[in-house]
This record gives sequence, structure tokens and C-alpha cells, in this order.
Amino acid sequence: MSINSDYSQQGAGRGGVGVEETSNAVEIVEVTKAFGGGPPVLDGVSVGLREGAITTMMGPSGTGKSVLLKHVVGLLEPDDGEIRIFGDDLWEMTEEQRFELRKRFGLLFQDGALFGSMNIYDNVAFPLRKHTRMSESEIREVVMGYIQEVGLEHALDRAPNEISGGMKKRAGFARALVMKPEIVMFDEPDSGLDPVRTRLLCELILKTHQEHGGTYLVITHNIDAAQTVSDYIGVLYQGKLADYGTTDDVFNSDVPMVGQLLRAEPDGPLGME
Amino acid sequence: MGVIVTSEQVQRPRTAAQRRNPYGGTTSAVVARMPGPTRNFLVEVGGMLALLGRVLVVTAKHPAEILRPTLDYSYVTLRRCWFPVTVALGGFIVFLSVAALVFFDQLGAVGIYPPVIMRVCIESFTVWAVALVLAGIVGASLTSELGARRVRDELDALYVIGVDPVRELVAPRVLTAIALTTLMSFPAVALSLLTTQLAGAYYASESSAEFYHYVFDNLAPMEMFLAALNCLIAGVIIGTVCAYKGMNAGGGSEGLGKAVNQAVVVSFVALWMTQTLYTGITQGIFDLGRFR
Amino acid sequence: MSNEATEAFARPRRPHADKRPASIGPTELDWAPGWANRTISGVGDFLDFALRAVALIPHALRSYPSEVFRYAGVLIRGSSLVVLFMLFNLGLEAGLLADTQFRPLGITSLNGAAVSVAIFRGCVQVLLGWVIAAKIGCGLVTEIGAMRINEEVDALEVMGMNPISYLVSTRIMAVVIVSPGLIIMGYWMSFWGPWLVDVPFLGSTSDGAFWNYLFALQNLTDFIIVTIWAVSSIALPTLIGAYFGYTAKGGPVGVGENTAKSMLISMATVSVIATIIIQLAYGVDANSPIGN
Repeated sequence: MSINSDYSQQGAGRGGVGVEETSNAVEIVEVTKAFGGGPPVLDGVSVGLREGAITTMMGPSGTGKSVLLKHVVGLLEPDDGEIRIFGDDLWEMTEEQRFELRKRFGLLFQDGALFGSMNIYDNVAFPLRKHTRMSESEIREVVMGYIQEVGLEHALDRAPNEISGGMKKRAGFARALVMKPEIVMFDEPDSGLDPVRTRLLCELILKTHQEHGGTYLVITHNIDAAQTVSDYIGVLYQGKLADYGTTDDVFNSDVPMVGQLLRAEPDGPLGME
Repeated sequence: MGVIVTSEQVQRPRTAAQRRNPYGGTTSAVVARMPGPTRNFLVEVGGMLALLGRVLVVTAKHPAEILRPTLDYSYVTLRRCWFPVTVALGGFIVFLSVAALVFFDQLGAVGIYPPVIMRVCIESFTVWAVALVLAGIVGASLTSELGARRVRDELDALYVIGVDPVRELVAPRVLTAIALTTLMSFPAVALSLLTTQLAGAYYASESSAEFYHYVFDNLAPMEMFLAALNCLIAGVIIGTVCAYKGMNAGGGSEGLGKAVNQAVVVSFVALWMTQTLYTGITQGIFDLGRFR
Repeated sequence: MSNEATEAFARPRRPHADKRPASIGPTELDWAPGWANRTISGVGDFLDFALRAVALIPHALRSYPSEVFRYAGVLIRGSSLVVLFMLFNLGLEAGLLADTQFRPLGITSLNGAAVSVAIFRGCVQVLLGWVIAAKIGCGLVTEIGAMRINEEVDALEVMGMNPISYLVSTRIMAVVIVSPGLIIMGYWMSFWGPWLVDVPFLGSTSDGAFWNYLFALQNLTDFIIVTIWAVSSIALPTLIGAYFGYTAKGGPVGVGENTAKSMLISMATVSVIATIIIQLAYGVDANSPIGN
């Protein structure tokens, strides 16, 4: 339990302290989504992501956390409801406007989603080559900066299938950051990593947030990770927002399901189904 | 609980949702009321046509950007596929020639073997074999490659980076399938010419001079043009079906395999039907069977 | 970890470990290029797998008869309609071409004969092989490959079942059960297709002449040869599909790649079989009951 207790101290120090109330960078309004006529995965979820803060979405497996994230990026269109990015409705825009807007996003996929046909360096340089008119030497400077930040300078010319899961995530992180995005999202940054690497990645997230700023959204069901990084926490359960608040508020929540989830207790409303 | 989470809460007009209703238009409303299998079929066909349309629009808008990757991908595909395509095609034409030889030998009319077999090849069977072989070999590898990118989230990653995957990945691949299938009709016809001549010389001791004399006396340029057009249609079908199936590959361990399987089967059925239609129509319009 | 610690945990070497031969014979030919070695060992692996699967058929029949009949049912319901539809379409095309080629010569009464020689002796077998490769072969790669990726194959082994017998031999037996009916009905479809085009639609030949010539140019020997040909065209793609499914690795992407690879190899194999059989069966003796 030594790592855990260490974490909770850090989390207690961070939760909600020193974050002034700001406007919402992303507003998710009454979003409903069902797949193929089944029951809704998201059932009227409303949540805002405060500008400049790290918000974490937690919840048991299969409650639509990743689906919510895909809505924010515009990979999925909601059946009902709106996604507002900096005040503009994502689905009122034209396709071109959406592609323009996505340049302000960074997303770290679960397995990094690196392009298998390129090496690590080219993967990180890809957004710059596509969207900017920088020369190769300028690109190299920027890319090397981020690659050093995530500690991958020794693996520049390796292919994605030759490196470990943790390295893939760090490379994906560098690629997500390289366009200096205003909104950065993480899809289960801890999945498939051991506790030490999870913690290192969390520290990396905190460090880059302090250095570069921006609105962060983290999707996870790792309690320690959530406690370490978050300013705000939202809890999704059965397609609805069960709880939302600053880290301390949520960890002291009196909603039975939230308490059970955060303390990982076997007894309560959550079961194996 | 109870924290105000958004600046504007529940009182929101539902017009936006209604405007975006996927079943809002007349066609969509009709399709939505169809029984299950028909609806799925129409939705798939619609998706394929929409994809093809986007590919064409993107190509027309940025021809220079798409040419380069198309050439690269064509080169890669040709390097990987030329040998199996040649083997599959050559074997098909060899047995077709032998069967035709047997038939005309029985009739005592080996002399008309060359033009008949060449016409049958150019008008239908060579093109058909090219289409099926390319669907099975190039199409399947296209689907598995695009599908692998879908499964590894690379397509989503492109979206998030702000790059249109249709422009970056799909358009070059669809165009490659179209170009390869169309251009392949020429070497394929040359291969069938060579194979049928060799079969004639080997099995019926027919002289090559006689063979080529009869063939070129009885072939019209129109036939070659129609064969190329036929291959173009086949290429559009292969490229669209396989790219669509690859882009929409499902998750799970069998999602991608299923996508490849369906891509091949669907393009086989589609090719088979269009080929019969095309032969019927062109034979009806052009009097190609004339002997000179 | 320090050196002493590694040594402390190292297991004592087994006695005589050095004295056993590394393998039975040389596993690589030093003088051959890499691709040749890979091809040879791949073919060897496949033959080893195929022979084991075939040898286990009696075991499969004794132990898992229900699985055999379940899969036979799946084949009949899922695949036979597609196959028969395609062969019918092949017949339509053949009838159309026979008419356009023979009308100028004034021998349209021989349309049935052309179908009997060209379609019955080759086209049906090759196209049957290709469709089976697409529908059943790729389906097997997907199904068995997904089980391999999900570690279901290992789970079977842990439960004391022979995975090759349970997964592969049963499916091969099912194909053996289904294929005679499928082949015969395939012939039937490929006869009715040209009949439909030539007799009622185009009126190029009479009903009697069509069937008369169709059956005049084939005999029992023909039937036996082409049926053996058809069975091998069905069996090899099935075995190839099962092999690539069984050896799938590398997650869902690996399954997709193997599906495309099995399609490629099956198509080329079916063509090569066609070339060999037409040479063996009809290269020397045309075996046609009329004419000579």
C-alpha cells in the first residue's frame, strides 16, 4: 500500500486547490448516444471541462467513458444533444471547420495509435509536416524537444511494433502535444502499464500541464491516477453522470456507487454484470 | 452532486437534434422503414457510393497531393502481387485455351480457334479473371491494410490530428485499385494472346503465323477499348467495396478477418453481376461477332 | 540483479543435454536464397498440418460428430446459395458468349456443345475454387484465427481436446459431406444458365438441340475427371484457409493479414491445379465422344 498512500497525499494536496473558477473550454450538453438500436450508452450526459484544468472521467468498465471522449473529438455524432468547443457547436460546423478545429486538439489513444508505417520520429513530426510550413530543421527542433520531454530520444528510428506499450504511450503523448493543443485528452493512459510506469506517466501529464497549460481530459478507472492528476472528477455510471466536483468533493461523495467505486469495495450497487 | 456543470442547462430547443436527424430526408425515411436485411443492404450500398463520391471529390480538389501516394502504393502493390496474379491468370487462360482447342478440334475447325478464343478472352473471360484475381489479391490486401489501420485506431488518430483519412489514405488506395485493374487489362490480354498461341502450337500443332494472322484479322480496336472500360468498372467496384469494408472493419479479434472475407465475397458477387450485364449490353450494341 | 544471484537461481543443466541431435536433418539449405527457404518450409508446414488434419478425420467423426454436422449446416445455409448463384451467372455469361461467337458462323445449334466442353471442363471448377476460397477459406481463417488470438485453441488443448481434430478435421469432413451435392448442383446451375439465355431469350438454338449437344459431348469419364477436379478445387482452399487460421498470430491485424494471404495463395493454387489437371486429363486424349 506504500504507493497508494503516497498517491493519496499527493492527491489531497492537489485536488481543487489553486484552481480558480474559469469558463468551460468544452461543454457537453445532454448528449445521448445509442448504437444499433440498443440501449443508450450515454443517456443525457451534461458536463463541462474547465479551461486550464485537468478533469478526469471515471466510471466502471463499459459505461461509455471512451464514447464520451470520442464525442468531444467529433469522431462520433451524438443522437441528441450538443458538443460545444469554445462555445461553438461541433456539429453545426462544416467538415472543413471541424478539421480546422481538431488542430487545437491532442488525443492520446489507448495504444498510442501510432502509424505503423512510420518510425517514432516521423510519427511525432507528422502533424507538423501536414499542418505547418516549417522547414525540416525547425520541425526537428520542435519534435526533439517533445521527444526529450517524454524521454524517447534513444528510440527515434524504431517502428511502433518494436517498442513496449509504455513507450508507445509516451510517443503518442509527444505526438498529441506537438501542435501545442489547447485541449488534450487521454484515453485510459494507465491501461496495460504497471504501477510504476502509470505513476511516471501521471507525473509526465502533470509536468506538461504545468509547463504548457491547456485543458486536459483524462479517461481512466484507475483511482490512484485520478487522484494524482485531477482538478475535477466526473463519475459516469449507466450512461449518466453520477457525480461531479473537485477531487476532494468526489472522494468524499455520499453517492453509494461513487463511494464503492473509489474505495473498490465488493459490496454495493456495482456487480460483475 | 449538484455542481453546476454547464453554463446552459436543460431548457434547450430540440431543433438542432431534429435538424441532424439521420433519418430526416425523404430517402433516409424510406430506407429506415425497410425490413432489416434490405435496409442493411441499402445502407451499405449508400455508404460505398458516398465513399466513392468523397474519393472523387477529394481527388478533383487536390490531384497533385494524391498522385504521389497513389504511384507509391501502386508500386508497392504491384511488387507484392505481380507473381500470384500472373500465376492465377495464366492458369485460367491455359485451361480455357485447351478446352476451346478440344472443341474446335472435334469440329475439324482449328482454323477458327484463334479469333473465337481471343474474342471470348477479350470480351469476357480475361477481363473477368483479371477482375476476380485482383479482387482476391489486391482487394483483399487493401482491405486488410486499411482495416489494420482502423483496428489500431490510426484512422481516428488522423481525424484527431486534423487530417482527412479519405484524402490521406483511402483516395490513393481506391485510385490504385482502379488504375491497376484498368492498366492490367493490357498485359492480361497480351498474356492470354501468348498463352492461347502456345496452347495452340503445343496441343494442336497450329503454326504461330496462322494463329496471329487469324487473330489480328478478326479483332477490332473497339474490343480492346471495351475491355479497358470493363476493367475500369471492375476497378471502381473493387476499390470502393474493399476500401469501404476496410474502413468499417469491426473490433474484436475476428472483426478484421470478417471484413476481408466480406470484401472479397461482396466484390465477387458485384463483379460477377456487372460482368454479365456489361457483356449483354455491349454485345447488344456493338456487332462484335463479325468474322472477316 | 547481481551475477551470484543469477547463478543461484539458475537451474542445473540436464545431463546429456548436449548429446541429443539438434534436429533430424538440415533445416536450411545454405546455398538457396532466403525466400526459397521460407517457401519450402512454409509448404512443408502446410503439408504437415494438412496431413495431420486429414489423418484425424476418423477421430473427429468418432469424438465430435455433432460439430461436423453443425458446420455442414452452416456451409449449406451460409455459402451454398452464393456459390450456386455465381455458377448460374457464369452459365448466363457463357450462353451469351457462345451465341455471339457462333451466330456469325451459323453453328448456334452447337451452343450446348460449347457449354459442355468449355464450362463443364474447367470454368466451373476454377470459379468454384475461387468462390470457395473467398467464402469458405477466408471464413475459416477468420473463425479459427480469432479463436487462436483469443487463446481458445490453447484452452481446448488445456481441456484435453485435440484442437486440430476439433477445429480443422471436423470442418474438412463437413466440406466433404457438403461438396458432392454442391458440385452436382453447381453443374446443374451452369447448364441452366446458358439454356435460359440461348433457348428462351435469344432463341439461338432449340431446346432439344441444346440438351442433345450438351450431353453428347460428355460421358462418364468426363464426369469423373471434372468431379475429382472440383473436389480438389474445393479441398485445397479449405485446407489452406484452415492452415492460415490455425497459424494466425499478432492480434486482429494478424488475422486480417492471414485472410488476405490465404486468398492470394488459394487463387494461385486453384489455377495451378487447373493447369495440371487439364494437361493430365485432356492434354493427350480429348475424350470427346463425337468427331473422332
